[in-house]
Amino acid sequence: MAPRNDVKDGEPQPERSYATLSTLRVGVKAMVDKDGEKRKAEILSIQTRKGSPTFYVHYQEFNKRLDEWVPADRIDLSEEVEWPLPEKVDEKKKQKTKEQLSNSKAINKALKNINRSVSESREATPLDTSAKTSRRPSFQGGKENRDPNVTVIATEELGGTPLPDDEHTVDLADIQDAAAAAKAVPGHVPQTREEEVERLRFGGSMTQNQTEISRVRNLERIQMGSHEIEPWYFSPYPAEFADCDMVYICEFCLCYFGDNTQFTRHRKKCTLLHPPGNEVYRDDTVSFFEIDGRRQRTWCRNLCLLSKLFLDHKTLYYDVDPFLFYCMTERDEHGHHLVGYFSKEKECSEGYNVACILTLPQYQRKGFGKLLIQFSYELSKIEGKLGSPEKPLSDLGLLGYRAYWQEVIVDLLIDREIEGTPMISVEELGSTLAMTTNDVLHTLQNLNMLRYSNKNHVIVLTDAAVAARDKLKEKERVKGKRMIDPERLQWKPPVFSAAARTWNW
Amino acid sequence: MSHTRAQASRHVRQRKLNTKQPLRIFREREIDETPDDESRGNIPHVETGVEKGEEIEYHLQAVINAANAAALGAAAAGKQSYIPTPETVKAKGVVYDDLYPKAFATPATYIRFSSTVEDCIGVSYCMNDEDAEFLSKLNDGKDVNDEPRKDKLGQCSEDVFEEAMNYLEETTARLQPFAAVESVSLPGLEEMERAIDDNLSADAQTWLKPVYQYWWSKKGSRSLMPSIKVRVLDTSNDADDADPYVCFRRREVRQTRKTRGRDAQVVEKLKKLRLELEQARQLVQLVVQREQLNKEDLEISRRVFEERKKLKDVKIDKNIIGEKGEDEELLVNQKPAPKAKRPQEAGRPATIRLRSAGDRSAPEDELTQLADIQAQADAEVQRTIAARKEQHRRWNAQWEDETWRPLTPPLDDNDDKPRWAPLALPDASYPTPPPTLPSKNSPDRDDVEMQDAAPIREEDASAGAPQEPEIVFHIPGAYPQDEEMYVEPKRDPTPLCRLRYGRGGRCWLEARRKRPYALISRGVVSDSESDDEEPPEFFPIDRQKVFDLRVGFMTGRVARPESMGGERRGWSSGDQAAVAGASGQQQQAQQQQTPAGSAG
Ligand SMILES: [Zn+2]
Repeated sequence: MAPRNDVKDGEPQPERSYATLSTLRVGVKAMVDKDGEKRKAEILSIQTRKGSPTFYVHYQEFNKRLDEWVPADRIDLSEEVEWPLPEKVDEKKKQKTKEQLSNSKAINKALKNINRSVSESREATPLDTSAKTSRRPSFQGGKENRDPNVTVIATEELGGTPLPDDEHTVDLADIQDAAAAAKAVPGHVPQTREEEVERLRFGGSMTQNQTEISRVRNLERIQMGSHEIEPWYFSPYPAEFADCDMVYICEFCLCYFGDNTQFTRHRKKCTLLHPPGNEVYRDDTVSFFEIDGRRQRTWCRNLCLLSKLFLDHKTLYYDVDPFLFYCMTERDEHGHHLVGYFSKEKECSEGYNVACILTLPQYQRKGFGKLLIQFSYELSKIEGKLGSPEKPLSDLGLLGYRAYWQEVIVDLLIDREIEGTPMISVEELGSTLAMTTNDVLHTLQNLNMLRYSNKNHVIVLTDAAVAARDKLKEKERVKGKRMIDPERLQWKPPVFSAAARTWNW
Repeated sequence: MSHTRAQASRHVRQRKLNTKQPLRIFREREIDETPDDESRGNIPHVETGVEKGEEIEYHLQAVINAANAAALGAAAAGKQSYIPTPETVKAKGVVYDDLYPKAFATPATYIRFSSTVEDCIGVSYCMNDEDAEFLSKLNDGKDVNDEPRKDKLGQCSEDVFEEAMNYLEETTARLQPFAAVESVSLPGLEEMERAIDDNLSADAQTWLKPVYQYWWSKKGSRSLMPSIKVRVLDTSNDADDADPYVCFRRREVRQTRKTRGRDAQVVEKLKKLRLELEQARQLVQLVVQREQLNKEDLEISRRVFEERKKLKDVKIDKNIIGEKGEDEELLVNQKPAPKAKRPQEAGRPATIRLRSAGDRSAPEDELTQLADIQAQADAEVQRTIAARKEQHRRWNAQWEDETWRPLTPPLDDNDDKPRWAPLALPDASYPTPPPTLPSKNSPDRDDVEMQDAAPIREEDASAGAPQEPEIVFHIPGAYPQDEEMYVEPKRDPTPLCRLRYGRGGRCWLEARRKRPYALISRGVVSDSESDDEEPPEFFPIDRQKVFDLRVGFMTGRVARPESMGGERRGWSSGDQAAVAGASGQQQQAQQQQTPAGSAG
């Protein structure tokens, strides 16, 4: 496992030296105390709160969801810090920057370039190679969670497209200079976050600062139902909410309020008690609702804004029309509480059966994720298609899918064994479970179950896999098993007319 | 990722794994692990589908490594590794039951629901603390400036306040969609009041003024309720692209190839749709008719009942005892004598026949086409003209038009036809050049019968693809009426004259000079005679012809009386428009005339 900041040969080394509190600026990497451990972190934003500077840091090799505001005393200035390379952005920072900003100018320029280059010769443009290594963003059917970044990262790696880069480099330098200048002249230090956001929003040179904005989580805390949740990532809720200590989200209509009185007033008027669509599944604990992005634009937009708080790779660049949203709820006498959802393209050219998938944080680690995944495969079974989630997966998504795949594959193999017909092809595994052949292979290989014995390929039910299954069964026996009962699914694949497709849903 | 697929399949191909071929399932103990097994100790690298940069993240790697170790048969790692996430806690100070009352009862069947968020949340403006403060002040009888309110409005509820605020916000957004980017002054109260429609409740309307004052004091350039940045217009400007707050852009419309077939398809669909709408409309119309008849029936029944009641009262009053059964008739509706059913009706219940899906006839067969309507309109015009003519004929039936009375009586049939004799050719200069019309069979006559007057080339007439409807322009000639009797003289360049005897034995010397024919160009009749310096000659004209002539002038079209024979003259197509226009004017004039005429 290569550490992330492994330096490749020939790359410029960042300058290292000691820093003081006043010379710290955006882009500097310093050792920061995290849960009693020193960890290298990059400063993404600096603010003065109650007279003392606060730093928004990203810990290297930690997911962005752990980025946080830290006071100065958590930064270890007894060690040398790494200074950013303002003139020539070094690869890793560039890469990192790209990963983290969600909709920068550079990205969109690159996207446009790619779009343009489609008509040009494929091999001629470096951009095009990027299209091979990563998916080319489609402006037409676009994936809900397709992050334009993907493309740009690939572009970066090729060292092509100097244009967006150069501009970006300059922008970064600008920020840094501005930050440094702000440090030097105390009167110019933004006093509050509000001020900063306001400055960023209405200042003259916007580009760089907007990049900054989306790298920093904008909502402090949200209240939803009886839960208070700390958001993980930036989401384009109204910019005014960056100043709110708490954003209130109505559990049923998912409308958002920066003010408790307003929210309370809304609750007096809101009559929605479940997701605004048709219930397609109901069992003793959960229900599923199918919501059409085109028919329920506001609700689906609200859902996307909410889920963007917890999904890094989701983009809200485009509207929700081409997607169906399958929303899982828990029922009680208050109504249907949203637990999680997955979105699915109405017509996916790449055969994905899930675009974005999320269990809301307040319901995580309760086995709901597996239900969502299972449900998506049950739909694929009815459609008679093999499904796979859209990539990239998040870390949690990968673990969730791996667990599900392992469980269903091992179950099926053991069933075959019990039936006394211990033979199965990879494709049969796939078609039985509505999984792509690739995902089946992925799982078998990952579990070390695909082996070569006596000049034959065989599937081995490893002791570890069987043990894991036994453990799960035992747990289910004690706690009860949660699973989707296909009998209770009242669903037919929705049919969309050619006209709907022509007019983009 | 494509990379994954490529790598995985390459790996598979090396080992020649056939994904279609059934593989034997073993337990671990059942196979002997050979150390040289290429997969042993070398878990093939599988693409995770997680982004490279994230894949190496500490917590994910910890979990993956633990899983890999377990897969390789290592002893289960002691503690379960997991990916840490920011905390989620129970909300403090939330009385959940108050906020979300227990209002839901699970229906027996699966929920079907199509209302939108907008349908369900009422007025979207929600008041904040500041608003609440103002509202209580307002309800204490003070306005926004703490001055006592002059109006006598009573108490304003929160709902009404919010409705008024919402109205002000929405109206501003509608009237000034770009208020956020350019500074414009807020709409005034008057403007706001002008924009009021039925959607604003009466209460909110009455409170609009005081609320407006508050709203005005509070309103900045942006919406009071924070909203996300959505671009309604398809503007893809760079500033927007770079703005992380701008979201939910419209997707670019998929290009569809335009083909003739596709267009035809669309046309067919539109026709079908129109037909169906038309049918629906007719159905509704019939239903309305039926219901009106029902209503009339009920009203009549009621009247019958009331009349009977009156009769009954009278009978009681006057103590009239009817014959046996007579009184019953007053109470009970008599059954009408059963009608003899018509045989056709008996077999066929009355049904409305709707076009079935399988009906293959083209939709346009059942739809009124523009051409039909135009034809109808034309026919209507013709009918009207005919009717008007008939009307005029009737008005004039008992009258003789003295002004047009022929000064000369019609010639007697047995009269000797006066012969034309050449007259000495005067100096060969004429006020207008003699006609040189190409028509061969043109009757060379002196009157205003303009049979060949128009300069139509025959090639043109035949070349013009569709036969234009003929418009007969006929100005009746002087005399004689009967053309058969009229011996066509040869075309002669020299002027002619003849002697003719008129009424009262008067003797006329009639000259026939070479005059240009009346020319018609672009529908304008120019009669050379009018320019003539010589005093106009008057000829006796039949009353019928006078009438026709007048009608002709009025309408631009003159139906040639049957007696005039089959001579018709086609117009060049270009002239029609002018004539149609003229006839339109004439018709208007006629319509103005008509009421006066019918009153008289
Ligand atoms: Zn609500």
